[in-house]
Amino acid sequence: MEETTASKTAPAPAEESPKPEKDSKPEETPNPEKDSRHSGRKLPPLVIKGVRGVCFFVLLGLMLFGLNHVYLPKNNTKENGMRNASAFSFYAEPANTIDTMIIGNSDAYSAFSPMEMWNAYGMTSYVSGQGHLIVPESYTVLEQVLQNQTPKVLVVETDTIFSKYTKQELEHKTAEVLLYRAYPLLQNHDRWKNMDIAEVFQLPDYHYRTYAKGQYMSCKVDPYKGDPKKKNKVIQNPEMDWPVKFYLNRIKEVCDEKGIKLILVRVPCLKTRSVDNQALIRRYADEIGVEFLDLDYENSPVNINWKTDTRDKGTHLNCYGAKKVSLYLGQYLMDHYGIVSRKDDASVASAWNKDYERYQEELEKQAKAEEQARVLANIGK
Amino acid sequence: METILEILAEVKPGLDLSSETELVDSGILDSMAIIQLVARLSDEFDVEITPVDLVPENFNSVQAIEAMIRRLED
Amino acid sequence: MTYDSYLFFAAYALIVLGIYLLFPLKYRWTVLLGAGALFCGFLNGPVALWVLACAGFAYVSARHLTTLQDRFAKEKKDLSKDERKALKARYTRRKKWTAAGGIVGALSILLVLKYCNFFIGQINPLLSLFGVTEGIPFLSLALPMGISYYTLQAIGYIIDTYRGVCRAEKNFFKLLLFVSFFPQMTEGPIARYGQLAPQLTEGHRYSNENFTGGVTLILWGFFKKIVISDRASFMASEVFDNSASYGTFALITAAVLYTVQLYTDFSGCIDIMSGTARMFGIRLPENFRQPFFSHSVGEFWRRWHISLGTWFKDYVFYSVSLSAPFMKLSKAASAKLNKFLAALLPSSCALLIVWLGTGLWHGADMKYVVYGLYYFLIMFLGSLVDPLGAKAAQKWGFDRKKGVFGALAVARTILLVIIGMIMFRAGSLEEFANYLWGIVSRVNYGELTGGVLLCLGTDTPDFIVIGAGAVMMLIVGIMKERGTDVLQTVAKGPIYIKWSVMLGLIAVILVFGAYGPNYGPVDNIYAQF
Repeated sequence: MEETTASKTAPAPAEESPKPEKDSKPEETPNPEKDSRHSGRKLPPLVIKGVRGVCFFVLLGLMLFGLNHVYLPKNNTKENGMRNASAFSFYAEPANTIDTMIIGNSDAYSAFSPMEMWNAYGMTSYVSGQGHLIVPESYTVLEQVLQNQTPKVLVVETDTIFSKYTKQELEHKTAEVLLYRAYPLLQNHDRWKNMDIAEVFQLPDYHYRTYAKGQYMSCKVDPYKGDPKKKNKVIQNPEMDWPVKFYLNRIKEVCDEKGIKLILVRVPCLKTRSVDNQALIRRYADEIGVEFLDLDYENSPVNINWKTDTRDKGTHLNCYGAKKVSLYLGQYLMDHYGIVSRKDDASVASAWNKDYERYQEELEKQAKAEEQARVLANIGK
Repeated sequence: METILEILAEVKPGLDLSSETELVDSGILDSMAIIQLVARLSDEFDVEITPVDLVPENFNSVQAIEAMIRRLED
Repeated sequence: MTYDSYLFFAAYALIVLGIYLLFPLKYRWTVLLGAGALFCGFLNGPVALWVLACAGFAYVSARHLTTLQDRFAKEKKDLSKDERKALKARYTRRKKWTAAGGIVGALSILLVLKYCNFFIGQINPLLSLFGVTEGIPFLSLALPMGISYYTLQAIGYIIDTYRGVCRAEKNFFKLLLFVSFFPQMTEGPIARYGQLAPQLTEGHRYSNENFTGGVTLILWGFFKKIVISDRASFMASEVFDNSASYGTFALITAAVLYTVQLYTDFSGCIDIMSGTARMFGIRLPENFRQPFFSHSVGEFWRRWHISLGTWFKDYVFYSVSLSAPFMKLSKAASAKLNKFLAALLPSSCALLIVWLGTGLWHGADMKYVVYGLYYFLIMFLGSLVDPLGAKAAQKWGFDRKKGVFGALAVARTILLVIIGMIMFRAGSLEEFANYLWGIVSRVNYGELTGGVLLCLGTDTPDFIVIGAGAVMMLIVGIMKERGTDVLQTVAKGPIYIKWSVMLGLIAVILVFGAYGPNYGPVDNIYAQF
């Protein structure tokens, strides 16, 4: 962006100005040394100025390109400087193997378990969640997903629609997201602090697969002690802010272009539960002709137990809650969105079965650790 | 001339300023000193020195001060 | 403004420059006026309209002042000396009222918008003494950005017209441009009419030297702000916000870092703005002249925020100390006290007023009043002691500005300034006192060896960058002290040097700037005033 605005505006004066300059040359005192050089080559100053300007911007462009490459993460791991690495390991999945793509914030990576969906229904999915993600960012994530995946269904998790940011902050954040997307150096530049020099000379190759497929696995139980029925956030914004609306519309357009079915889903989350907000999203979903699947209300079919299914007092679900949500959503997508099992698909099954084994091991390990902690705590009492 | 030097010595004791030509620009006379100087000068010569006259050029040397006072006396 | 607003500002300035150059010379000033209006409106919304009121007061009162002046010049022609004197007295009185009207008008906007809650806060306790318990409710008024700067500029213009230094501008819009030139809208500098207005309205051709000079200065400003200031701010905030949990050495480090932060923030912004103006061929007044090389606090304030200091000197200090009551005071004093003290008394009173004003200009808070008093006391005591120092220097034959004594004087100045900075940064006077007490009482040598200093809010590499940046600034500063302006030399130099400096600065800013997801945005300090 910088490059284009600069090149549009800066050379303009150089080309435009000599016209009035010509008739008043004597009173101006141009650099004599420069002039002598020009006369030797017998090129009009206008051309020299133009060529010089172009040269400068070419050099600037090369430098910007080079710097960007130097600090670009060369693999999709945290050690390689990938931000929110677990949200981006879809890069390492073989092309067109992810049928269901889920994009959202921390609610999403806590509440969806692609491995449970694989095990129960044989469906392939990936959840790309980042804390405090905003809808414009959901859009840029989708763009990246589409580079080598064409999912059948896109699940947009709706807790991102009403963020903690004010409208102004949101506009600001949106600009930032777009800048980072256009020129990644802006978010990678501080890697000079702890980067492996060898990376400078490598080309990016995102090949680090994760078995959890973006889920944040936590079996910690930290119950919500109040009465869930009374949880209802009073509405703050009577309307969606324009960047949110704009990018939701963009997501819908892109999905239509690519033949991806879009569904908005709200997962259980007591902290931001709001009848008003959810009604607003429903109205919006009707407007653009998309389904809004709201799973966040008392007695919803997901049947979340706020004593056992949350890891932080009702804000995020733990692995038990995630299993409930995933099983429900998986069945729903199979029934209504034409998602089919890939268990018989040899290209996928063996790898995903292995992933599931590791997922199981991790679950058992965590459950054991939790159990131990509980025993210790009881002894303490 | 003599009187001006005396007054200068009151404000900035211990310095020989008779041949100095950058009293203000070199920082010897700051605005505090200038005001003290002006108070004494206007008393001594019965002239009205106004803020407009308080520019470095009028205070950089004893000669400049003298010239300013001549001008104001007219 | 934060770093990304600066990016937008730079893009905006380039676009404005493009449009500026497309206009015929004679009308180029209108582009600047429009750019100012747009910028102002964008920053402030409807409250931007106050600038119109401010310019209005300045316009009307200055026009009338010039009319009075001309009428006086015409009427006095064939009069005798005594009659002339009487006429002059009459006109001076009228001029005084006219100027006062304009000044009060412009100033009252600033006072109401910026200080009403401060005054209400001071008055309410008094009211409760008289049994009024309700008190005056606090108002929530939006303060337009830059009002503290353009109001002073407008007042300076009125006083200059009153003094006959300049003649009133006939075209209101040209005056409006002087008050609302967009690079000065956020942090000044406060310019003089005679010096700035002609440059704004005359229309400049494009010049390569101005353009590259401007761009280099802008990049240098970005370097100061984004690489050094924003980075120092994280460390300083960490300690200042949790000062109770840090010991002597961390507190001292943070105070030094805050001083670095404030200097690079403010002077960096001024560089960006001066660079922008220079692209248009306009020179804004100098605001900083290597202040940390000063031998005294007085000298420091003649090199730090110069445009504010000279404004107060020319329009407040000189006006007050040369006014009739002060002259009387000085005469009365010289009859009773010794000559030295008699001369000192009136100027000190004027100095006190100046420092109270300067303090309050920074913000509507008791803290700033004390901040002003602090500097007043230092300078007052300084001028009491100064003659002794001069005598000692003469007696023992040393030069107070050179060698060890010079270095000691510089160190003393920096120390006093840093104490002032702590007060400036502290949330309240109480916090300031606690901070100082912490420095004195919590000596913990573990901080020196345990690595606490290296991880104040950020990490070791950040410290190295600040150190390297500071050294770079020091070198540039020393060269400037010795008469070489590095940046301008570069801008005039051969193309390969010019380009490598510009590209190098861009690279350094992009890579080492304290921006992006790992650093939050940092607001400018001086834009709040």
